[in-house]
Amino acid sequence: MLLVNYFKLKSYIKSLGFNDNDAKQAIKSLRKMDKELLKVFITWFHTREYPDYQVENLSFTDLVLTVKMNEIKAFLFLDWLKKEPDLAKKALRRPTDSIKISEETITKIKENLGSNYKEEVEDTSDISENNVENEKDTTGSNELK
Amino acid sequence: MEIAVAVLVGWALVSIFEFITDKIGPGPSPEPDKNYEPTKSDMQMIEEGREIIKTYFPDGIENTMISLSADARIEKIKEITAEIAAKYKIEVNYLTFLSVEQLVEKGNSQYTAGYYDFEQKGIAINVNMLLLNNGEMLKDVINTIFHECRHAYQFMAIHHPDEYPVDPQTILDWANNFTNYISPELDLKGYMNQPIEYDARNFADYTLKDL
Repeated sequence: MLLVNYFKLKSYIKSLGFNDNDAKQAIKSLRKMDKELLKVFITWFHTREYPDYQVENLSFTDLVLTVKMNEIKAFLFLDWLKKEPDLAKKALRRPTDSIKISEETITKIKENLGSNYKEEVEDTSDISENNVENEKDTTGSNELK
Repeated sequence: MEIAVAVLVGWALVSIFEFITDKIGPGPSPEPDKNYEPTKSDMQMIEEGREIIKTYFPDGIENTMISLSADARIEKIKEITAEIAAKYKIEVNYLTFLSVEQLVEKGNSQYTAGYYDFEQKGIAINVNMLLLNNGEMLKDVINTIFHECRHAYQFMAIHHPDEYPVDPQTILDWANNFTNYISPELDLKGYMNQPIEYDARNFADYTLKDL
């Protein structure tokens, strides 16, 4: 069975320069990927060979080599392009922005939120082709299908 | 000197932009989401922003910006940012213009318009975009100024909720989002749809609509 260990994946994403929260959020989204694409992702994670995979007329290689996305972003973008092509293309056209915020400031915000802070439960189970989350499930459950 | 260096490395931004345009075609001007409903106080801020734009860009953003030299464009951005900050009661302690290389060094991608720095209360703008004679890119720079100023407003609102007319639930949504922000360098869809980015993007798009 194809699977990726959660902690290995998190460690890989952090090795790209992202923080713990960035990695957790990305893995949450990777779990929701289209099943076929998730298999391609898991294979890539183990082999690091770029897949010959294309959605509309954008390939994985285009996104990584020409648009300069990292591999995780390229996979998640292809998933979006597959599910909502018009929205995904519209988003791709625009340069993005970001915010710079320190861990200390985030901690202060959490303290100020008190009981209103929505702590996310970290699902540390393996990412497997057999337990793809259903994105349309709006129950908020963290259980994998 | 910094500008000269920025021009030299600007090819990276242009090549990505041209590649994307070639692959998916030219897109319409950015428009606010159909479901975006600005509050009454947001509408007032949007109207104030539109007045600032009309004052500083009497011939339209694209025509006015293209007609200016690099230095004059930077000066114009500085003036408009100071005026927006005063109107919106936000802190913008610095405004810096970074090349694509400098943005990448700070953890952004080559296709980044700018960022808001919550620690030093400052805005960074991609100078390569500002130096291009491309109307769409130049308009996006002005859009980015409003977008980053809106982030500054969100931050002020969650820290001083009694001083900013934002409803309590929105304050909670924004505050929680600051604690679990989704990076645009990993998940573009998650980034676009999270509360603070949805709000900042639509606020800026609404402000610049048809101008």
